[in-house]
Amino acid sequence: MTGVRRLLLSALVVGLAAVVAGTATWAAFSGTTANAGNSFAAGTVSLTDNDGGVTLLSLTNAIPGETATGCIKVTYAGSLAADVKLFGTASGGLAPYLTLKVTRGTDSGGTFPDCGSFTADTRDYAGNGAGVIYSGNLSSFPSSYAAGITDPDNGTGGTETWTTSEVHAYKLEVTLQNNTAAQGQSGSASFTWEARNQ
Amino acid sequence: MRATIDIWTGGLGLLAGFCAVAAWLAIAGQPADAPPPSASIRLGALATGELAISPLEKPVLAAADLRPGQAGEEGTVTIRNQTPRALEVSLRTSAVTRELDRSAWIDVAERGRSIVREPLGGTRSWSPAAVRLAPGEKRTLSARVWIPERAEDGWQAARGDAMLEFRGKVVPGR
Repeated sequence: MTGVRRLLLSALVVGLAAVVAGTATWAAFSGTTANAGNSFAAGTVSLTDNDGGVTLLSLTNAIPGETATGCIKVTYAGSLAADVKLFGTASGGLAPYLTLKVTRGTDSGGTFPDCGSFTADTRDYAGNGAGVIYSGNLSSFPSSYAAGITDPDNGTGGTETWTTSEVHAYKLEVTLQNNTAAQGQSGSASFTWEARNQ
Repeated sequence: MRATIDIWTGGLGLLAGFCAVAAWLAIAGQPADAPPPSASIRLGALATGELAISPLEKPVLAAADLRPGQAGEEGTVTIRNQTPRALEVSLRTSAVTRELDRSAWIDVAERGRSIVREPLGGTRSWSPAAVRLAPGEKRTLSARVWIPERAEDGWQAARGDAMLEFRGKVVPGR
């Protein structure tokens, strides 16, 4: 190979090297950063019970002083801390002659609506006995969330904050009052526990 | 002849140098007592109204050193029908963290019969198989989580936290 050709070949190699280096240099001036995989999820508010769709209380052909008793367990499965209120609806001509008592407590076992394993809360919330959160006429039971009975905290007496997997039991007792006007009357009621996140 | 020897000598020298550097990197890069990588998992249970579930206050199972090919971690959960109706109970998992969704498998069984047996990430929907419980009846289910021997990468230092959810559907007419 002649000297000129060697010189030209060297120049070609240097030139190619310069192009490669230049390209790499331009590439080094750009860069990116990213924050991927962002996710969003809302919390949940979920309240369930163990009634299996079966009614809690029933009085049939009742006589004055007769009482129907039933216990229900309410479970919170939501992820957000929540307040719970109890309210209901009552209808029929018999409702004013029925006394309702609702006692809050715990239930270590048992099957709806048995109360054999029910233990009342120790706190006297309203002066009607340990764990009693309502005692009065069924017709006077609060009928909306706004007027509902705030579920209380047995420890502090304040409002209970329900958290995931929290369970409480309620014993409901309905007694027919000794009032002639109740004869032949009938009625019905539903009870609602509602949770709302704090 | 001399040029050929020089080429061979140079090549062997270069190869020897590469081998020395590679050996040094292999030795120096690993601390003498570094533990092998592992994954951790925690499986809890979520309460539901129709069933009394235990345990709730503590995990069904928890492990901090899961590795492929090992037996994994086992635990039990007891469910009891606390409604007055017969229930068909199915289950699913809800993820707290999803890092082990593809690597780890879960098997929940009742009396040796698997209710679910699949990758953790595949258990987000309610299981077709169910456990039938009469009113008041209870059953103890076994739960096992493991990483198969040929699990794809991604399990190293991964954390898979999940909750077992149960659902009891009333059996019509019972």
